[in-house]
Amino acid sequence: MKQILHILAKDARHLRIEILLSVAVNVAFALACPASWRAAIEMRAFTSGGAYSAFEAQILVRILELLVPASWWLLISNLIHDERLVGNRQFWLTRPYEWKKLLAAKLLFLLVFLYLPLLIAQCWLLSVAGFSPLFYFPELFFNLCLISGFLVLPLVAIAAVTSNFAHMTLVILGVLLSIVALLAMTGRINLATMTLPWEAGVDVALLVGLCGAVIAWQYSSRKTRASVLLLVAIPVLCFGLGEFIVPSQVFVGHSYSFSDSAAGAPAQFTYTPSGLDNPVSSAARLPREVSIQIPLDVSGVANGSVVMPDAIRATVESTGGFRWNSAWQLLHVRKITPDDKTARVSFDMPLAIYDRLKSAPLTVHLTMALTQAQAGGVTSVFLPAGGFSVPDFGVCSPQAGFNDPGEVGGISCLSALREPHLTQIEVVAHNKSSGCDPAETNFGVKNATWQGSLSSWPADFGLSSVKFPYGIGPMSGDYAGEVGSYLHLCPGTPISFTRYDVVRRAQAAVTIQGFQLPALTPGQRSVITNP
Amino acid sequence: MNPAILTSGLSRRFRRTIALDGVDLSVSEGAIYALVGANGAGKTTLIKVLMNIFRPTSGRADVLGADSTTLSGKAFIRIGYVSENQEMPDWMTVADLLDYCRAFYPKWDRSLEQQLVRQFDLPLKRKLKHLSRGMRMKAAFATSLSYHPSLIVLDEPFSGLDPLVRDELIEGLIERATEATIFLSSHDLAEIESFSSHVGFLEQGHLLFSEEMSRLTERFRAVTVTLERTSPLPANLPSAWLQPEAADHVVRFVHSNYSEQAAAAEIRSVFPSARDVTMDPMTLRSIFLAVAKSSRINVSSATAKNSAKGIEA
Repeated sequence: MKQILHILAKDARHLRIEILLSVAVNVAFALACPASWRAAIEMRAFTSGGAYSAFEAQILVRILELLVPASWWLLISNLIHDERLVGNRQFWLTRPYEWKKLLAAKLLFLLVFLYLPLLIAQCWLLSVAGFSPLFYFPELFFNLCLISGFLVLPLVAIAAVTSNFAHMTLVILGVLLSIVALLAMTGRINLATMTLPWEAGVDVALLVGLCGAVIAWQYSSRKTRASVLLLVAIPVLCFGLGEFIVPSQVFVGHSYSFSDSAAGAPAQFTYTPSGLDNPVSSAARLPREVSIQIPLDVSGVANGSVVMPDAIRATVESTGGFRWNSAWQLLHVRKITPDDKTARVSFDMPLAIYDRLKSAPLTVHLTMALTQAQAGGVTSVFLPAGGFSVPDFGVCSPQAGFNDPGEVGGISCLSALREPHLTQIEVVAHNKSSGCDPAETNFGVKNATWQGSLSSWPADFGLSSVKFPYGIGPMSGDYAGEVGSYLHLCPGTPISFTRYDVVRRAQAAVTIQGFQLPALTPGQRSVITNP
Repeated sequence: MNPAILTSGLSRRFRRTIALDGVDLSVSEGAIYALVGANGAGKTTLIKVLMNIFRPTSGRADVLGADSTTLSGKAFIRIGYVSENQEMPDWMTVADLLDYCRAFYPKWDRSLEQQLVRQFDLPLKRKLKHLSRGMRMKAAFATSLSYHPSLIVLDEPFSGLDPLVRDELIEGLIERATEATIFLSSHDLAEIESFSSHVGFLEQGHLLFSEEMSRLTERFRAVTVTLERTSPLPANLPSAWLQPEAADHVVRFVHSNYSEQAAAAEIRSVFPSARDVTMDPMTLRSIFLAVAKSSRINVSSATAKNSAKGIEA
């Protein structure tokens, strides 16, 4: 321990400027965050004069959000390169340094001068937002683990295999360019393919394991070439396996169970041709691809639950025997509630396939990956004049009105460390004519919105411990089909927050016989061929 | 007595370059061993293998009884290492450096440290990056001698230093010689001859000889034979005769295996018409040059022979 503290003291003394810089940027970020929350709320409310200052505050936070990791980059580079592992002329190589103690000293340094200021800033932000930091220690710890996995450990690993800041910078730029190139190559940058619910967890575990192994290996053996090989080869191998050799798509079956009977699925889908809502072809997100949108009838969603179509896979077969299978593709479809009767799903197909199949009657087999969530705890509040707390959701406050800042136009909420759990917020708003008469019992228009996600992670990756803003935004009559008649809330208006949790993930299928691909307009075709 | 350093069949390659080729070396405890050799002979590589900075490609090296590949951490409490091109923490002052190093060594001797600071006239408050080359070496010496190491390893410690600094360093070193084995590499043959007890000669990765300095200077002689009449050099001269050359009626060569009794008879048998024979002791520098030149001639002729064989094949 003595040697660890001795090296730590030396590093702290040598790197005092870098430490000060890092802490200063961290403090600036923490101070700028609350202003940006207020600004974001103002932006949503469109209060007069608020938008410009809101924009400035948001930009400042974004810049500081980049400067914090940049200051870590400098700090980590100088810290690791003070006893650099690459080369054979370093003074420390022939001194009684024990690699475990050297590594421990470096990690302790990061704990004291990187993690601790960040943790203090995060606790302070929670406290400013109205959360008690003491209740969020596991989440804070998880967030620090994510920051370690995505930022700190990769920086330490790269510093361990490079000889100086310039070398490290070049490597990081190379890594970033490679990632962008790989993402662009596989189309992920367009978010066209789906990721499985557990993929992010596996990615983080792999990253932490890999970086940890490289750091330990390099400190124990200083075999830089082998460490670099490990650092490059394993991600490339994993990426190659994931994207090209064993597509993650094959794991969809394990994550989304398939029931032989249609009734076993969270929702049943059928296709009924009707004159009111027809299939449509249009330009897809990727160039030279056509998006086919098909309206489906929906039934069988259990009461108190909601179904989210996550992904779709299409098999299209012509009478001539030609068959085309799509990969699993992300679906951007609104949540399906028991009241919903229809849903419009879409999949993308290459233009060449479309042209080959467009004139013949087809058999289309659609398989959808669905997540079913069930309503759980309900929190009901009567809108107070000031802020209020909603368990499992966040800290909320009334928000200025759309036209009249003196009026409550909605509610804005901050959540701690992660997006809130998937929550349906229901409110019955007043219309302009009813004012805020306490005697008014018929409030007017029922309004509902969904917020949050079904992620099971206790915290999202991010430097700020507070996520913002969630809730019901400024209300206009558009919600209720009464254009021009603006809605608002009043003190005492009842608001309910219903939390939804994942019940199961399953597949549902529908087969459409004799389907004719809808025609592309010349304009759409032109967009597809000349993106 | 166990050797402080022992290598057997030690080789180290850098891709296609052979830096060390089967080096067998033994340095006894208490010796002041000077490793000499031309630039690129493999001296620094050998030292870095001994210090576990490089790993051997094959063979083995033992340092203070331990396999060199296991040298790390606490093992360096007994070893002091100074190299001409070592990267020091330049941002530290001399006092910082001494303070920092002190905590790593349980046997750090404060009085010895102060003695060395005085002896080397070290400016304690000056940063290392502002020191001259000589002062930096002195600071490195002070941090490597203050804990009474059992083995002091020095890689070209006097290179590029002025004579005054060299003397000061050598003086500091000799004072430690009673308690430590000293292993150093150097180009400065005249300097090391004055205090080394043993010498090894490394040439293109091969250790050509390794022995006591006194024995070495004893067995090398610069021989001048004056003949009665001009005569060409006979073929098949003894292999111990290096660089033989004849001019008029004088033949000169370096005897690398001289003994007082046998040498005269051996010379008379090769040159029966010898009128006069003188055999002068040689400096280490002269020995080094003679061995280096002979070695290169041998290597060249071996290469030529191999090339000729290749052509014939």
